[in-house]
Amino acid sequence: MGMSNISFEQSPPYFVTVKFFLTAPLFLILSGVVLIFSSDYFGLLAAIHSFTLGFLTFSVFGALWQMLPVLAGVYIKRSNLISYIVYGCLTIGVFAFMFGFLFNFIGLHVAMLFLGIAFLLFVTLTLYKILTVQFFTPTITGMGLALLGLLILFSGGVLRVLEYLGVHLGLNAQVLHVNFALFGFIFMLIVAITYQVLPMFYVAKEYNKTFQKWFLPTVFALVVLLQFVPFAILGLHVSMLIYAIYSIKVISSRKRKFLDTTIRFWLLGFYSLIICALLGLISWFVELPTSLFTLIFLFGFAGSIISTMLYKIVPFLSYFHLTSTGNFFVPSIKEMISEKPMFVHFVVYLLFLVSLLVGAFFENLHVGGVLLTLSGLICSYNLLKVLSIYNKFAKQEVQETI
Amino acid sequence: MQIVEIDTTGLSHPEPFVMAMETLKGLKSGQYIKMTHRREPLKLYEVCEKLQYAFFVEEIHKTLFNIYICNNAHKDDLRLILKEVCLKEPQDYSNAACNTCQVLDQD
Repeated sequence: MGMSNISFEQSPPYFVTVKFFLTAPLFLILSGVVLIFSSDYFGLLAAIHSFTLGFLTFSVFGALWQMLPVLAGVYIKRSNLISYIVYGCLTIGVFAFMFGFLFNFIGLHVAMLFLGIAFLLFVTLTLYKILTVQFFTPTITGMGLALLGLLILFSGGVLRVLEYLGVHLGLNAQVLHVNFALFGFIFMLIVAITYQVLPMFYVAKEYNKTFQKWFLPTVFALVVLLQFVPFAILGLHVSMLIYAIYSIKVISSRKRKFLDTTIRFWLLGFYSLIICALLGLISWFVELPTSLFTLIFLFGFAGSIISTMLYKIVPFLSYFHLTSTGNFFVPSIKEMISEKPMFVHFVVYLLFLVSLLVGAFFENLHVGGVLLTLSGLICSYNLLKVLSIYNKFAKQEVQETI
Repeated sequence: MQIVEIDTTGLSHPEPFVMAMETLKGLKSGQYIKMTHRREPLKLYEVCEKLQYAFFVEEIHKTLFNIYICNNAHKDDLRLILKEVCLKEPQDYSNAACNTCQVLDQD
């Protein structure tokens, strides 16, 4: 039996993780608003960091908190208190960061302090817990490496901020920061999670065991190598291509051939990654806008996959926490969130990506900003609707108990 | 005891959990659920433990499990039935008080 390291009652309380998921799309809105009103270099940096530190990190922290007990059998004690410290520091850190880029560099000092607390607390705690796991699966190994990548990218970020403040240590901080952000953290973590969730969510074929075992360690080695050998980027572009094509094959092998919005988002993410990898390969021969690769990678690949994860996780968590109290008469998951509003979000997000692609060539991302804001608003509305249903039935249950 | 069978092997997440909860909702005294699933439904175990349903798990192979659930009052009756119908000795995952982890480790 493979269950000997798992205690069943390990799910963190509802709001420990849900607050991260519900806050995430607010940073999508903020990112869009910044793109509308600010078109200079620092405006773009602020928008990108609202997306990465806000939308991505909030979603990822919530997901890890939720998934680690199930995937690894590890549970963070005092999760309520720790989650509020991490959540609070992350929120202040992101806003200070935005302020720093948009108005005054002093905000970056504050941001480093609070983001440092949030990252160090969450990552060291999670890594420590992961190291106690009895059986390492490729997903757990991948998560561990990705969290290590997060620490390295944060160190690179601190060095980069020091450079903005006039302190130069002679290291190429930007390269370190960007490479570990894109490949060492985001790409690694998404790959690790898809190994587990893609076959589970859609009754699809499992990823090949040998592929699972070697792919992520190879990617991590390439990211490290990239600091010394720029040519290693080719290996990463090829890795992205292999993973995206393989994942499309996995999702196409699903038993029931229905196409809902969550699958559309997955496919959008994988096709964006293919475009990204091809752009990376083409850029060896043709000069392309420098931000194009990063924008498509972040918003196209990572943004799509995080969106589909939010739509899978939040309604299920709400349903699970309601029914686990013995309250069976609650709305079904489809009643909490129906296909149509998710599809509207998907269409707006797709239009946003198209506008981003076009806008990057003309150096005008204002239209993209409008569509991203709209996309964030729709996503927030959809998730808040789930929360309102949860609150309504959770209160009902308490009243009945009283 | 009367069996209520649900086959969730072809269902995608979270339909197996929802189907199990719907079946639990309608479970009458003297009935038990036999759920066939392709993986271990950990979230369902958590709910069963919280709501004090007895549940046994029969691992047919790595991608096929039979999960038997009944009201705690009928646990011994179900255990007797399972001894006869199960191909393998089912694991008793219920009764949190006995500390599931330790019991399984001793096995």
